Amino acid sequence: MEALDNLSIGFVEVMTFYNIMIIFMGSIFGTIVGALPGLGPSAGIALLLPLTFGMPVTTALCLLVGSYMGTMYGGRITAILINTPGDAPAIMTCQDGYPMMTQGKGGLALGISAISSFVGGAFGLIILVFGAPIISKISINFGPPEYFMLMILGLSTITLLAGDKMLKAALMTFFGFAIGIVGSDYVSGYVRFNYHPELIEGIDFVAIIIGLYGIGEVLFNIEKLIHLDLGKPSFKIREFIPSLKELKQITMPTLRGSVIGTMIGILPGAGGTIATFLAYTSEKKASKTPKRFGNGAIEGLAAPEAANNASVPGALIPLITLGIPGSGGTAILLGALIMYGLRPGPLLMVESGTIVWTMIAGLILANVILLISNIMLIPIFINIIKLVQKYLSPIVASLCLLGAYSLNYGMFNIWVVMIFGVIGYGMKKFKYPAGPLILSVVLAPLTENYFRQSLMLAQGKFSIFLLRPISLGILIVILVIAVLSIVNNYRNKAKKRVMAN
Amino acid sequence: MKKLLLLIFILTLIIVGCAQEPASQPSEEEPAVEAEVEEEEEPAEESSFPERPIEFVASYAPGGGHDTLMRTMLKIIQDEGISDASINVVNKPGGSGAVGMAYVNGHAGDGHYLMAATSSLITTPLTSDVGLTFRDLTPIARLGIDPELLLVNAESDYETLDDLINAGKVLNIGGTSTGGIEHIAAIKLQIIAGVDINYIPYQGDGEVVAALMGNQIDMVFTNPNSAIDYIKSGDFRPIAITTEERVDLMPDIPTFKELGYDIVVNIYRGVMAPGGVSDEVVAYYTNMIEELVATEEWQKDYIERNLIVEGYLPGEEFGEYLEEVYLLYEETLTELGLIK
Amino acid sequence: MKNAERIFILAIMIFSFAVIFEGSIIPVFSQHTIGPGFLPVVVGGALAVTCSALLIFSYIKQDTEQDKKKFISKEGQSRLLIFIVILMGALLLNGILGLIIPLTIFMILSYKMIENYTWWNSIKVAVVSNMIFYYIFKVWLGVPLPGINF
Repeated sequence: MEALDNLSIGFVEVMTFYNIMIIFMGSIFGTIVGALPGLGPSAGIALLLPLTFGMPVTTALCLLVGSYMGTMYGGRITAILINTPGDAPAIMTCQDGYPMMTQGKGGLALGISAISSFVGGAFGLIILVFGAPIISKISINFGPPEYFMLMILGLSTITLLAGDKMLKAALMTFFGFAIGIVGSDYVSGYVRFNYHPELIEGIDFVAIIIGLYGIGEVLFNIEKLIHLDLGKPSFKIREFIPSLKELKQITMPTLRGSVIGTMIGILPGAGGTIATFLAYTSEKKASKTPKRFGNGAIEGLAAPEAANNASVPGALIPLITLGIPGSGGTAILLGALIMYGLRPGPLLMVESGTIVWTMIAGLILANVILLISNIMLIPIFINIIKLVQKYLSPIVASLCLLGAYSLNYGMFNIWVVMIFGVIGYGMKKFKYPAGPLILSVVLAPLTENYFRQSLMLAQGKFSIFLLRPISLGILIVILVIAVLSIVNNYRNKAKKRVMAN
Repeated sequence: MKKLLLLIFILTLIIVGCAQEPASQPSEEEPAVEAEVEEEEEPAEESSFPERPIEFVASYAPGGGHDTLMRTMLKIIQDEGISDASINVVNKPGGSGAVGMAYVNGHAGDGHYLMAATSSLITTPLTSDVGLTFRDLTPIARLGIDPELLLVNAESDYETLDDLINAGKVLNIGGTSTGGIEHIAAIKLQIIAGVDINYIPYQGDGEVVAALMGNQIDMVFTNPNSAIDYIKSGDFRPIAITTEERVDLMPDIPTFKELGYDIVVNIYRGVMAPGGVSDEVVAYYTNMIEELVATEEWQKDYIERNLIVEGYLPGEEFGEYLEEVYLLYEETLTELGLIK
Repeated sequence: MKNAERIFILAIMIFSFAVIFEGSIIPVFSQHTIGPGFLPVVVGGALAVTCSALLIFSYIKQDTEQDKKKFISKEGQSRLLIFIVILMGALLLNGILGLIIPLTIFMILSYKMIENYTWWNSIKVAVVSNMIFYYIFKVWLGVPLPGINF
């Protein structure tokens, strides 16, 4: 067990009082930054980076990975409390987390999601410790055609599994895709919709999320004059620690979510986001009572949260084995490694193995600290909301707009948030699902890029998607899902007709 | 209990907040440092810049050349105490550098942005309509020039340039941006050496290298910096380099010239500020860079480690150099049919 | 509700035409691969088709319960309008007063005018929460908020 030996060396490095305190601070900092709408893992790590100068390399890395893991825990907090996900991977947490909040079970939602986050993170870390070299060898066989097929898998499952709302979901998917291709195209450098300098970069999907979810919900509540009714501030532990029965209920969903998160999280670009969507939809499909999903089903909360956190170590695998960042957060970590004089690449584990193992040990420690601190933080967050529940809508609106401003230090994203707020309000009224739209916006530029690169690799032949075994395999999975869900839909309709007769 | 928890919460906020504060405030020691650098004019005004954290903008993803340059600069600036300003490196990848340029240009007149500039600064505006040229930005300094390496995967059958020329099929070659230096080098390879190629642009050097690792493509043009580890580890086989003469640090790699093909394309590495910035800002950055390139750490950590050929030029001369390069690129790209 | 939904779909449809137009004026194909205009045309087209399908269904299908409901109540409409007008007004003030002060004004007015809280309560909540926001965003995270900052 070479991996375990190395890991124990890493733990020896980490286990000083100073480092543990640093990880603790980083975790709390990350949790709060992740909870703020508009600020995600990239912002969290970037904000801490200047602080790490002058620290020993291992301590600095502990601080950064602690806050990275923390932002992943934090993203779920605002998603559950005020229906405003801080980042794309937290979108699916809204789906069942926020309904639980409106039912007065917000504390429980936070508790369950903290536990499944921990399990997901731990699962991903185990894979990272024992499987990193093997997985990186497999992952380099993934080229543009495979990535393209995976994107299509994500997009088609969320549309096809929308049940009787399939057409509405399709509309949202295409709408999101059309929004996502605004801006410069990676391959040729052409700028589409070049009417405003900010549009060259495309519309920031975080601004769209804040608008659709945060402002959309605020407008809906203002129209109906809805207030949360959570009762007086209190500190009952029962309110946020799940019962044994509930724990049993979420065990399998959490484990399934962890597996999906670790596997898909390795994909560069949007691994974590796709993983949470797939975890949610597959859980809904597997459930005997899919009707509960979207109305506060704890399985629907646990699975995507586990997937989200399992994708963190997953994204680190290509970083430490090949020097390729798999997500925004790991991209900044890569920069940090370079600044500390390390050179991420095939020789990193050979030349600076101790530092890498120390970083992994730091992550494991951060995951434990985060579970404890996040459960302790629940009453604070819940009671802050309880304190202002009658005043919530304008507060959420202001917070969302400030978050939008912080994305790019400009007013442009504030207007984007306002426009998508109105669209989100309409979608909520007419019952159009927001998930497909967001996933589509996030994936559109990547999908286009991989599609074009695939064709270029094949020198113009579309057959490339069929000739490569992995991409063909994914294509078959997509087709099976498509056929099954269409048949299913048809059967359900026929059943309804029989019932009506 | 409630009060206690709230207290802990607020305390944490304050502790982390305090730790953050020194970094986000303009430093007080700055005038002193500036004074040492023989620049005595109006230290009072000097201290008014920067008013907030400076952003070093890299137009490619982390791990690429832009990113390494900005991060190394930042590290040395902080280590050697050249400036106490709070500086962050920001990546704005995409659009063959267009996204980063537009981002910096969008902050015209605001000196808190410093952008890494390589050949894409000129080529991207030439080949696509991005609504700005390098003349819209303020040149600060050229820091060095760096060559391009032609590499194949060590598992492939191609041992020499002749093997590639005689491959008998269209070869897929990877590089970073359409119309960028690697694209030009690839097209020259096609025209001058007669290698049949199909150019595939990737985002950032990291992706290019990964594509070659996974045998997704036949060969790549990339800078020595991204490839050196893979050459050392035996994963990649270098075919040739685009310099005039062999490079000291990689004496085994032949140049295209000595192989009989006149392919000499090198790119410069420099830094630009947004257009319309005050002289004070230009002076601030010029001092910073002059001090930076004189350090030993710079020689060791940037020039040597990244296999860069030295070539410092201050702002105005860099601007003139850019004009020359512009003419050259315009001519080559029109000839190659890349300018639409 | 049905007519409101049709307007919603029509608005998206107009956007889809804009996307198709934008795609058609730039190269749709390039050597060995698709051009930057390919996906805008294809996706815009798919969007337009889906929109028309939904529009047609809205005429064919029987009205569901949701369709029969009124889109918005009179009171709801006026609340929403006041809210959006105050928020827009506040945001347009950002050039003069920055962000925090207009947001404070927006919050006070919306508590007072929409939710009918007392002046004292409105001001108290608005000022305290914006001070916390200011601390988090400006002091703690170092975000350069615009205009007058206190």
